[in-house]
Amino acid sequence: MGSEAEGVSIAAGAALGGKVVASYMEGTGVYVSCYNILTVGVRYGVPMLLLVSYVGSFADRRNSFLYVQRGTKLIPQLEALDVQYQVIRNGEGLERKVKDAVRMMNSLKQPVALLFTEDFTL
Amino acid sequence: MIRYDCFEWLAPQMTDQIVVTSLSGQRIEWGHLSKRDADLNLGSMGNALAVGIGLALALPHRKVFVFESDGSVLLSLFNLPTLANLNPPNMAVFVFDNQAYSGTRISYPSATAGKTDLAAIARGSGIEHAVTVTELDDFKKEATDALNQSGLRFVVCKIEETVGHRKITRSNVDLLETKYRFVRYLERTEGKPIFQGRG
Repeated sequence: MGSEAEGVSIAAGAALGGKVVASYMEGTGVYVSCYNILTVGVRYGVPMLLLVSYVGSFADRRNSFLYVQRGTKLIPQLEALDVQYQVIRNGEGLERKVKDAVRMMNSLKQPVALLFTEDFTL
Repeated sequence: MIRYDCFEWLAPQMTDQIVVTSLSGQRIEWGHLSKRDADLNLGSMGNALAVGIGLALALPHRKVFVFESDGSVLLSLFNLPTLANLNPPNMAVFVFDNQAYSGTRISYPSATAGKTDLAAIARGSGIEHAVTVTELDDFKKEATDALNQSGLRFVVCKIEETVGHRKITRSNVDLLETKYRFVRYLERTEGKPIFQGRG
């Protein structure tokens, strides 16, 4: 993909065509794609999973001045978009957590985000 | 060439093709001329092409038409290399290029009023069949080929800047209703559930 923005919109089209979809992106991708998340995902009510590496968060083991501004504003950004999210710190119960998120996105018919940090940043 | 004339000719040709429209006056004109459940009027700029790609990939046995505008394609130019590389053979993109931003009742030239050639950008991105048409008969030929042949097509339709759509009474069917109508249509015709989850 040339941009997370189109990734979200392509995923939305595939979801409307009957696929269970996930869009994987670094935290910056949420900023890049917030227009698409809002205008297609949220406004149209399209279930999709956003798998986001939570770079620049407290638990980011490789945090630096390069990432931290993106990390500290990521959750406010998602909350502004009214996107439900969970922070995932390690692989314990990961399959169940992903299934929980899929169930939530299908029930809400909205994008839902999983933010991966801590052990996933090593 | 007048966009409404293109749609007026094309709408009766459509059967089970999916149509995704962008924002501009085309959404209003196509919605006025076509009342099909297979129409997904998105109502946002910069998204129709990508949503169309997703639908074309998810439903490779169905033809997907995308109606775009110059402003909308320019907003999401990164779609073109992606479209070229994915190369869905069941997709046809028609860009109605009036060379202006006029949706907000202004008229301001877009880049295509200057030096920018969207078909050339598409070809440079790797889309093999990317052409520009300026006459209604040429549009009809491209659309007929899109209806009857396989292969990705990207057709830039040079049109006059018109305001006829402003006289059309706008539909009160909102986006959620449009979505459900479209999804239920696909469920009926594909014979499978689209939205998952417990009732």
